[in-house]
Amino acid sequence: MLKQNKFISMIAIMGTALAIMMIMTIIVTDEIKEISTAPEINRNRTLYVNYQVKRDTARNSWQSGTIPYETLKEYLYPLKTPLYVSGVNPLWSNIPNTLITREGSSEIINAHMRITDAAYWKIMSFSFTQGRPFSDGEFQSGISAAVVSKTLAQQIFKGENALGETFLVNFKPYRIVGIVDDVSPVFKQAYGDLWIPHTTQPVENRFTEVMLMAESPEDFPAIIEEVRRMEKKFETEHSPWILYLKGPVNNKVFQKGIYGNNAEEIASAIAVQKRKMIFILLILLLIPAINLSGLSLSRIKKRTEEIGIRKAFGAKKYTILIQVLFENLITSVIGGVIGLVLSYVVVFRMRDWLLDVPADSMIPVNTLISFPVLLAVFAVCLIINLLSAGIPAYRASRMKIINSLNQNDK
Amino acid sequence: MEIIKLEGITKVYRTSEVETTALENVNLTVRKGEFLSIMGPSGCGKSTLLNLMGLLDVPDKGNILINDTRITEMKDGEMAEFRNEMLGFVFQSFHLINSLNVLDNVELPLLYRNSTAKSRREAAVKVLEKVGLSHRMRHFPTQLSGGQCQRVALARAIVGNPQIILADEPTGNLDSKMGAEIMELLFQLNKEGTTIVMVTHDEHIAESTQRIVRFFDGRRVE
Repeated sequence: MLKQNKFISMIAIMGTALAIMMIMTIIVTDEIKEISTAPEINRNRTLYVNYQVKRDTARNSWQSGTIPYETLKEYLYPLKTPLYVSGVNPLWSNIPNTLITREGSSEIINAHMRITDAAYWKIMSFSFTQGRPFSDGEFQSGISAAVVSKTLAQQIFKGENALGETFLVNFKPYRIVGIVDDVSPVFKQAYGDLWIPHTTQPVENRFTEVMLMAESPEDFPAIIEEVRRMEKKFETEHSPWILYLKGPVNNKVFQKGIYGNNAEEIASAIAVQKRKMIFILLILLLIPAINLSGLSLSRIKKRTEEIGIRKAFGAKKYTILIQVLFENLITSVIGGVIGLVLSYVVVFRMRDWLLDVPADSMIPVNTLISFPVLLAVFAVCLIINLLSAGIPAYRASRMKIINSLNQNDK
Repeated sequence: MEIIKLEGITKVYRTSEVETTALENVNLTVRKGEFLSIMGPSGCGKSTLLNLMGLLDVPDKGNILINDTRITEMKDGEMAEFRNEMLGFVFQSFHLINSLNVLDNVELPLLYRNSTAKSRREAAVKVLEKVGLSHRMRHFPTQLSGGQCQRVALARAIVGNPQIILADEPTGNLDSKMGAEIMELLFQLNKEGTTIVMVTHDEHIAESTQRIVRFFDGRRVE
């Protein structure tokens, strides 16, 4: 069938490819943000709290923002249900603004600094090329230990062995205890050039996004309940102030950056997001499907006589239906593969806009090719095939034999 | 023994503007092993009659029995199976599928039976040898002459060993030599026991068959 109408087949394949490219760009972008892969290997069993609201009920005044270290220390570190609790500073900008230099050197390097704790290294899965993460003992003691990326180590020490060496972070000395492989900026919680303990920083720098890693996602409700109990504890201890911690939410919701002043507002915002996404995907599926159905109809019309002959010699209606759908599916799958490749190109070329990362960032291959992505491509191909060829195939199967045979005799 | 029986067959073609009675109250029987010709002027309903016999169309009134089976009460799927098992068709304009080669065209009826690819291939090769086209198996219909196309169509019609062959002006688009070759094959098949019902304009060909039935204005005339 592809050879019979080469031009129409090509148009159909490209039409399918473009439709699938648009849908897969959305799905691949989401998958990159959601997939559990190193270093953020525990995304699927981690809850996130990155925003709090404190309200003085006596004076009706508000304070809101990321989680201050005091809240993390007093109300989140003591949680019993999560396996690990960690707080890491958010990166507000794609522009590195921490000043790195070496004693006696005038060269200053700008880097992305992450301020965190010992539990961070249990939740994440970094690839250490040398050394180790800073320990809980070093964290509690406020020892100035740092982990740096391979590239930063190279930039500071220019080929010398950096492990154990001292360098200056915003003019304060730190000793390198570990060196890790570079991390892609697509991993928002893991990305950085260097990692240092909260306890080595002044209080005003200690604002965090908190990760609560569970044994399994089944523990999520229990964790959420325990966080709610901690809020009640805050109210008791700091009345008339009340505390609301946004979430905890799973990675999917966290990545979408949904905000709200309470659980109901967040749930409502999530519902609105879902409806918007369904609407967008429906439009992206229906419009090309309707256009492609015209092409399918045209191709089937050219084969009216053939369908009549097949039916005359014993083909049943469902046989014709399946044959037409199957042949169309081949076109859809070819278009699907092309569309998937094109979606990768789009995600790669527009990564600064789609993923909010610097335009020259690398995207790990294992975030692009995953079972959910491949399943999604096949499902989309199938849906587009059914939508675009279903009605023409149904009509073809129901054509009267004698009318089909006489089509070209007219 | 009667293999085809038409009782009170009426067929009317309707458009939004006009109603045409193609056949009116037609009764006809065909005996097993008979070679019957149907003749009449253009528009008399002979092709319509053949289409109804071949279950390619349905009558507005009347009954069709083939091999004592009442066809008019069958569902579509049952009719498709029955057509595949019992009937073979040869059309004036051959109706071969141009995108398939000769072998694939001939195998077509066997695709809709529970047969293996190997047995289909063997059956198709055998009938192509019978019609003298085994050296053209890989050719496409557009590479064949009219006579060769009709021989392929005939091979397709007989590959499934049907009991009845319905031929609608099988020599209509052929010269006399090619037409004679096709008729020779049809006579051979009839000798082997296949019932043949043929629509033809050619008096000479019709007279060489066992019986002629004539039609005029949708009615049978004696």
